[in-house]
Amino acid sequence: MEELAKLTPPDVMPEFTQESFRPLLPPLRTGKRKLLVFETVHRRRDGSEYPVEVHLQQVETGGEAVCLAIVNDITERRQAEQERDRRAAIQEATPDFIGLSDLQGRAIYVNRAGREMLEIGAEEDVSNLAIADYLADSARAFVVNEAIPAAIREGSWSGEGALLSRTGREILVSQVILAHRGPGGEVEFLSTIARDITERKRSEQALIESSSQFRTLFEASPDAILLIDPHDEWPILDCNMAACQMNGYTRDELVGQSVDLLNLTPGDPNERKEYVERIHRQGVLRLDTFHRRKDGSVFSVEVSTSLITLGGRDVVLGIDRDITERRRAEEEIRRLNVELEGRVAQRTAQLASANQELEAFAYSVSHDLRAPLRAIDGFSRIILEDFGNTLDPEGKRLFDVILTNTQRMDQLITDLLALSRVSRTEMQSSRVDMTALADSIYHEIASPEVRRKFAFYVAPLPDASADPALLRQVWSNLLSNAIKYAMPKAGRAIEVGGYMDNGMCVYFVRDNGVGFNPAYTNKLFGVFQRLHKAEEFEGNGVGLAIVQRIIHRHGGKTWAEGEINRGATFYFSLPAMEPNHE
Amino acid sequence: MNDPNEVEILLVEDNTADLELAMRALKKNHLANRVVVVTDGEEALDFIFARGSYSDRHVENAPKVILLDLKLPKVNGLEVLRAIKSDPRTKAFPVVILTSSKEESDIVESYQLGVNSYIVKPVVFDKFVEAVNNLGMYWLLLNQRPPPQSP
Repeated sequence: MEELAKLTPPDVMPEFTQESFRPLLPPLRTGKRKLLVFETVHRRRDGSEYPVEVHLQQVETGGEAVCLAIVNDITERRQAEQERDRRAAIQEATPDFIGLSDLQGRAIYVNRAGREMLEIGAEEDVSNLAIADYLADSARAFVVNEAIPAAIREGSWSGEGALLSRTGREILVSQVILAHRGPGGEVEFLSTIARDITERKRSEQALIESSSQFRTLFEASPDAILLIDPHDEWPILDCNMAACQMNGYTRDELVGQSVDLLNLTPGDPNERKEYVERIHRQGVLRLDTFHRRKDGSVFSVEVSTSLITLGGRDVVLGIDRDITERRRAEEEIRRLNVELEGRVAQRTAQLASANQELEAFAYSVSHDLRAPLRAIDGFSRIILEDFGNTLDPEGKRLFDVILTNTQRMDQLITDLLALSRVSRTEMQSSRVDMTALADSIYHEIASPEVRRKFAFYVAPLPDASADPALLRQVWSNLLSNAIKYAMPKAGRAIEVGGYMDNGMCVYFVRDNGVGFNPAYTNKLFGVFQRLHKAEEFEGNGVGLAIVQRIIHRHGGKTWAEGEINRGATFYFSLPAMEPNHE
Repeated sequence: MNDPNEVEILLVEDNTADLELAMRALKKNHLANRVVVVTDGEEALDFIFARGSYSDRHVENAPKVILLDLKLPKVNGLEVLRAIKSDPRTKAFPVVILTSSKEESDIVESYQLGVNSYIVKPVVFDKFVEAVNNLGMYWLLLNQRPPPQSP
């Protein structure tokens, strides 16, 4: 006490000096102010400080004016204030709406996030705002009639509502409404904390929509879809209508059952494990197998399985397609193929036997027709040799007629055999240089004397893909015809040319010889058809028939153009070579 | 006919007209002296292998040439040829096919069986005479035969 008495005010109030403290006193002294209240800090003897509220007043004590200071330690009050400030800061900082109102629905406080949400100015006085104006139409009745009474009744209510901003924007919120009671237990204030859940709602909606789309797809699929839990006995978690129809079960009969219900043989745990690993590796696994319906019937299915994540766990998605029809079609195709092969084999055999007959016939012609010819020729000559001197010239001439005709018949047999050989021999196609071939054959069949009489020209020809031996025969027959029929004319010329036309190589031999009557064009390529008398031109009408048969065998055509005494052009076509042929 | 062991030509021909023509051609070429004619395949084999009515022959006494038609009764020419060429005793015998057939298959098969020549009989008799002359000249006069095997 003695120590205290020695102290001056600045000693206990370090915020003040004698100089700063002294001006506080005169207003009290003069009575201008009765009471001076301020807060400062006091320092204890040990140097520690504490907040105080100081009440200074002038009092009369024994006629003497004394300055009375009543000092309250406000440490606790300060702490409470700081706590309040911290909470206010939190309220201001939170992104959630926080608001307080009276029971009449008048706003008292709206935090920063709330002001932003409702588009109220940061500094604007909210004390006159009616809460109901800031509730969306969709939520107002419910909040006023249900939520708030519930909060008053229960102390709090939580649920979803919708706020309305000043510009009319609706904000979906998840909110809590609290009822605050006064000392008398009566509800005096209401507060709400509301969180903007517009985004969450939108994604929830999207999820609902997409899962309903999924459901629609799931149900609408003509393929059976099963969701299977790849654990334990592989229970079916869900399935669509198609799965029920395909397998003859109701959904209730399938869901919860092991997929083994559908399989012909129960699954082996190890195999299943491996199966899941394979799906993991490959993404989708496809296999053809069989399923058994409820009625015991078995059908073919193509099963596609993949793994999807559903509710955070791996689920096997199985899509089954009934391929009974496809199997049947495949079986049908296989059967038809076998039948076709059988028929082809049968036809081939028939053809082979026909060919064999033809060959036997040709052999017989070759061998047996010649023997009598030889006898006719041989014995005619023997008569001429042995009895020639008893024959008059007319008798000798008649024998010559016999001999000429036997030779002609021999030639006929030779040519006929050549014609039949064209059909009988197997073709061996290769690339043929037609320009070189035509040229070399001309030189082969035309002697130097003949060549001197002719102008012969070969234009570059497209290569052919054909049997070279048969093509030789074609060129040989056409060129010898050209020589034969051009020989009687002056200025003999033979032109060989070719061109491509519509996927075919076309070749021609043109001469300026005696030509032919176009009216008989269709007879040109017939066997034994001749447009000239044997006396005019040698030949028996087989050469062009051979040409035509060879070209037909190659899939080509023959035709001719000509006029009497204006020459003739003989054409033949062959399918053009495949681009990568040899 | 002469000693069957000293035959120069064995002519196998069933067609009498052809046979007559062939004999005439041989005669014209002075080759008809030691010709034996048989008219079917079986008889040809009997002669060559010294069987049946030819059992007094020795197989080793080969004719200088066998002229063989292809189309023969009983055993055909190709079978006769096969028998000759597959027996070690006779496979060195010269065999000339003399036939009407120009069929490639006949020609190919004959050569595969080891025929020495294949001649198509010309229809024109003069050419036939010429062909016979040529083959007689070649096989009887020019061709050097292997020494006969001792029995």
